[in-house]
Formats: sequence, C-alpha cells, structure tokens
Amino acid sequence: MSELDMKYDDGKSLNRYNDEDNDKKSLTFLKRTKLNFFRVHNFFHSEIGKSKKTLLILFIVVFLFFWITDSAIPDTFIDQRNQDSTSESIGKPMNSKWFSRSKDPRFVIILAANEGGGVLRWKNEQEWAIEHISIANKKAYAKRHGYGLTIKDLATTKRYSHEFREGWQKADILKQTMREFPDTEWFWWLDLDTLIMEPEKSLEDHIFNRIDEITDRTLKNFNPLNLELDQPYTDYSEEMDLLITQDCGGFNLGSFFIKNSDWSRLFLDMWWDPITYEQKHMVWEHREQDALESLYANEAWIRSKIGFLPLRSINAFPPGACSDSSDDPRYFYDEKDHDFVVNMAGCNFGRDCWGEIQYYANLMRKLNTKWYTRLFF
Amino acid sequence: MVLKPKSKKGSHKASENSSQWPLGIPPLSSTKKYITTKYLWIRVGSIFTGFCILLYVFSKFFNPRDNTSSNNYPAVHGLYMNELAASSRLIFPHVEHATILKEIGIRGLYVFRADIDGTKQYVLKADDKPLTDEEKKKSTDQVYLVKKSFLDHGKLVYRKKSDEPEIVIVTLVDFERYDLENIVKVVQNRVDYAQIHRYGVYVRWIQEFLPVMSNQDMDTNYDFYKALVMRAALHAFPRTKSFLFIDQDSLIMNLNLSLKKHLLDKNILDLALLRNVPIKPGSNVRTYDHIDFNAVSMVIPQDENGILDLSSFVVSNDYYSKAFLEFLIDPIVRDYGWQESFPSVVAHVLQWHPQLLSKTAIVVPKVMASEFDDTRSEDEVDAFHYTEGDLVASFKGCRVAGTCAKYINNMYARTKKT
Repeated sequence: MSELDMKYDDGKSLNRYNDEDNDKKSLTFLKRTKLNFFRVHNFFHSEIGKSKKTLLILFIVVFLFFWITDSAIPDTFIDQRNQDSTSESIGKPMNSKWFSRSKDPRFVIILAANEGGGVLRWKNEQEWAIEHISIANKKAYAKRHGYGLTIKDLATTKRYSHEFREGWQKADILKQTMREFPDTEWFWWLDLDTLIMEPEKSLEDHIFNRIDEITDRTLKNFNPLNLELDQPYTDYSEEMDLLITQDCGGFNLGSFFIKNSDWSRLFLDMWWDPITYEQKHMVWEHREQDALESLYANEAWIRSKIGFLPLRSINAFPPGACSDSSDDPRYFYDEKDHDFVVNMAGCNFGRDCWGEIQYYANLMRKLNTKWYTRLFF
Repeated sequence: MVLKPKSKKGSHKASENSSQWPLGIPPLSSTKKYITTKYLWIRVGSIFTGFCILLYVFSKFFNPRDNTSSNNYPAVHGLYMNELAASSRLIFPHVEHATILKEIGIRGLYVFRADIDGTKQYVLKADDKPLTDEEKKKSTDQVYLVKKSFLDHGKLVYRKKSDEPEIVIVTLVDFERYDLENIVKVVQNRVDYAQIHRYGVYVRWIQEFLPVMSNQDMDTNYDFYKALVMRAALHAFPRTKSFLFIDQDSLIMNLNLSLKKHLLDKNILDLALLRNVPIKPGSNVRTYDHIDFNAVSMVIPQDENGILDLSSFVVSNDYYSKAFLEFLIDPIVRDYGWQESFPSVVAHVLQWHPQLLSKTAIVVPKVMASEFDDTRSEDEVDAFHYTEGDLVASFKGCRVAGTCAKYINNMYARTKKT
C-alpha cells in the first residue's frame, strides 16, 4: 500500500478504494484503470478544467431538455411531393422518440377544400377569402409543430353523384393520402369551415398522450342516436384506430382522426357498398356519416376500433349549429376553456359563413397575442 | 465503493476543505485539494445520474396510461352475456336430445314476441343465466332440462390457456330437417377427425341462431346461418388460428389427412389456387394472379360452373374474417331481399371489396369440398368430384333430393373401415 502511495500522487485515493480488497490481481487491474483514468482526467483538467462545472451544468440542461421535450421537430411537409416518388416497397422505418428515420411526419392534416364541387357556379369573393383564412390557419399550425398538411380538392365530387355517393369521396381521399404518406401514424381530417383556435397545443399533448383519459369507447354517457349500447363480439381492449366526435345529431365527421393501419384501409374499403346504398340513399341524409353509424350499430369489428372524443376537444360548434340544444355546454365553443378547434358546421345553410369565420379568426388572434408582441406595435 | 464513507485516515484533508468551503465544494483549479474535489464531484455526479436513471425507470413503470386501460369497459361477450367455460376443446351439443327438441319445437324454445309495429318474432334473451349443476340435479322435468341444455350450449366458450387447438372444425346441425341417426354420424365424424389431429370441434344447432335473424323463415336464408356460427366460433376459440366450416351434408373422408399440411400449407394453396377467374359467372372482377399466402384469411372453393361453394370454407381469427362474416350478417346486407343464392352474395362482397378479395384464396373444390356423385366411376379424376383419398365428400343438393341419409350412412361406414 505504501508503495502505491509513493508511486502515484493519487495513491491516497487508491488506498481508500482498496482498503478491504486484498486480492493482488484486482488491485493491479484497478491500479491500471485508475492510472489511465487519471491520465485522461489530468488532461481534461489542464485543458478545460476551469469550465468543467459549466460543462456539467450544460450537459444536465441539455439532457433534461431532450428528456422533457417530447420529440425533435421534423420538417413540415406541405403536399409538395410527387406521388410517383413515394415507393411502397420501403420497409417500416424505426420511429422512436429519439431517433427517427421516417420520411413522413407523425401526423398529417387533410384539409378538404372546394367543398360542394365548385363546378356549378363560380366561387364568390367571400368564399375565396374563407378558403384563404382556413388554409393559412392550418399551414401555420402544421409548420409550428412539424406536422404534414395536404389540401385535397373536392371539386370532382360531381363525378360521384351519378351513383348517389358524393360522401364517398372522403374514403377515396383518405385511401389516396395513406398511399402518399405511408409512414405517417395518424391522419386528421378537417373540413374547410374549421379554425384551429389554439395553435400552441400540439396534438400529442392535447390528444394522443392522454388518449385513454379523454376518449370514451361506449355510448353510455352520450348517445344522441339512441343506438344499442351492448353489442355481441365487441372487444374494447383493442386499440382505437378511428377517433370521432358526436354532435346533437349523431356522428360528426367534420374533424376526425384515422390511424394509418390495415384496419383503417379495410374500413375505408367496407364503408361503401352498393347494396347498402341502394337501400338507403334516400334515407341517409348525411351519406358517409349515416353509413358509419349503421356500421357502428351492427358490426363489432368496427365498434371495437372506434373511440369518441368530446365534441369540444377537436370539433367545437358555434352557437348557430345544433341550435335546438343551445343550452347544452357540451357542443359549443368556449373561449374561456380555450377549446382547440371550432367547426362552423353547416354555416352555408342559412347562416353567415363569412361573418362567423371572421369573428373566430379575430378571436383567435386576440387569444394568442402575447403581452410582449404588443411592444412592437 | 465510491460511495463508501470517508475513513478516519482520510478525514484530515476533508475536514480542512470543509472548513474552508462551507458548501464542501472547493475551487476546481486547486491542485492540492484535487483528490477530495474529484471524489466529491464523482459522488455528486453519480448521485445525480443515479437519481435521473431511477426517475426515468420509474416514470416508465408508472405510466398513467397503463393504469387506466379499458378496465371500465364491458368485457367482450358473444350472443349471451353470461358465458360458460368449456372443459374440452370438443364443443358439441347433446345430439341425443334431437327428438325431444323436435317435439318441443321452436315455439317452446324461445319467447315469441309481437311488437306494436307489427313485427312478430322469436327473441333471444341475451342475459339468460345458465343452469347451475345444483339446479340440474334438482329438476326432474326432462323437457325443461333439454330446453335449458339447448339454450346453454351457446354460452360455451373455450378459455383454457393450455391445450389450445390450432384448428377448429365447425358444423351446424339441424334437428328439424335431419334424423337423429344422421346427426350422430355427422358429429361423430367431426369428433373422430379432430381427435386424431388434436383439433377443436364447434358444433351448434342451427336453430340456436334463429332469434338473431329478422327473417325467421329458415328455408329462405338457410345459408346465412353459416356466417353466424362462424362468428360465434371465432369468439369461442379466440386464440385458434383457422376455422374450417363443413356443412352437415358433407363428411370428412380421409381422417388421416391433416388440414394444416394438406390445405393451409403454402405449397398446396399455391397449387389449388384459382388465378384470374371471374368471382362469379359473368363477373368482370377476377381473382388475383398473386396473393400473399402468408396473409391468407379466407379459403373458399369454387365449383366447375364458376360458382363459389360455401359447403366448406376456411376463415382465420383476424379482422378480415371478422369483417367478412359480420358484413354478411349485418341486417342491412342479410335482409336485403337477395334474389340470388348465398354463394352469389359472398361473391358480391368479394368483388366490391378488394381488401377482402386480396386476403381470400379461391381454390379448386378437390382440396376441401369434392362433390360426391355415385353415378361417376371412381376412375374419372378431375378437380371437382370425389375420389378415394380426398379430404371431404360433399353431398350437394341431397336435402332436396332426399338422399342425405343414404349417402351419409354409406360413406360413414367407409370412413370407419379405413
């Protein structure tokens, strides 16, 4: 022991290490490692010794930052990609919080533009302006959080009308988008008459990190259609692949999430069938919405995969919609609660779309102005 | 060892340090106090890292998401809410009850309800409670016991984790249209085959599903019951991979032929697959040239006239099969008022839904549904008719011709010989 003391400056510490360790072999091994360690250490000590503390603090801060923040932010995609360039043969890339090789963003927003066809008449100025506001709103949101955005033109709706199946364009667009973004996890369908009121909220924080807490799998608590609650073979232990909302009239597909999965592709395929539509096209006023309700009511493989979000979480209504139940707080946008999205559903049926979107766009600007931005104006 | 408390030997310098630096952290540049400084740093550093790792590990363990997972939602159940755990993987009814059941009749088995809107039908009591063993012992009413055993049979599900069958043979039997002797032979045939290969058996009375239907004239939609029993089988054996339906007008002839090796094998399917043929006569939609044999969910034979043959078919326990079956029994599809036969309805589903078609192998009947024709000589071998050694002999149309009993007697004797 004393030899060691004489040999190395740091002998004392070794003494302390090996007080109880009398095995010679391990001593020499330890000795060697310790020696190497101190060599390196001394080097650093002389070179950057003074800033070591700062480095440690820096390291801790960086570590905590990466740990706490959810994920690195990838680039935004705004539907600029050539369809041919997306090859389907690429295997599923590994996607983790830390390491992402995927080309596609985790979330892609699908915005339906040109609703109603745009074939029968010219769009007027206000309609152009509404479209402009709505698209700019989603663009800014997608850019902020690194999500994808793809704008789908519904101008070809009329092509579907000879088979009474206008609503089915939605399914076709979703299928097409799934091919375009093979690695994306979730697609968020948004109608044009929507505004994201709280662009600061990310989809992860707002929905997907607490998905089990905010979704309801059954209709027990809210059942505007009075559908049968119990259904044989429904398995609620399965993961949700389709997140929708219900308004006063039943299922609402103005804003919903669908997962990029085999189940979803099968569902989109089964959604439309000529037999069901031949029987129901006079009854089903809301086309694909009614068809989904029918599938939900009767087929367990559909019911097992659907989750219901509260309407106000992704699809809050202005007072004009659902006006028969205007005292029910479950439906309507509330600025005090900072509801995420407002959907001016049905505003072109006797309501003033332009007025409503202006009102909510101004409100959004007001709500999201920080105190320091006022300094610059 | 790093965290070992300071020994008395080394305490001298340490106390010197701590007196100078109340917080115990000397300046880094001081070379003399270097040693203690280093250990302090290592100590602080390791405590900090250890704490972080611990926190990280615990945050993984106590993720709030895991605690709330679907515990509040009702558990999956079949047509009945209350289910019975089956003790054996051979689930079949008390066939000896057939004559008594026939006497009781549908009227005595179910509640007949007439609604205000004019619908009159038999209804299924979903929350019906199964008879306990005690009640069974107490009761002496033979008719009541038979009725309860009929109603409780549908509550049987296989939930054992051990000895799970890989394949289950499903059959519907009918006490109204077939004789006891006939039913016994058909059920025994399935059980014999399953015993050899350690498969499961799932046999139900077709009458058990009557109240599920809105059109309760069984003769008009006799074949739709196949989809109902298959869906029930998927639920009864949730971890079984493949389910073979064989109707009661067929017998398994080659008991030693393993279904897994004979039909569900990639190479056999490859040989038996019908490529690029119309799904039904005159259809523009044709079967695919290439399908992924590893992802096949359904196997359906097609006869020589190009019509799908649903006398025997295979489905798997995945959502393609579930979607296929549940779509067929969805009231909006089932009650459409089809002018076509059931095989044509199945063809409709496949031709309008490419996702399902791509998971379906349309095959020659020889592998699972060879048609038996006693006017043919055994030497004429083709891909459609039964010859010695085929897995299944199917007596198509025998119910109409009234020859089922004869064929089943003859052929059943043949299986016993070998």
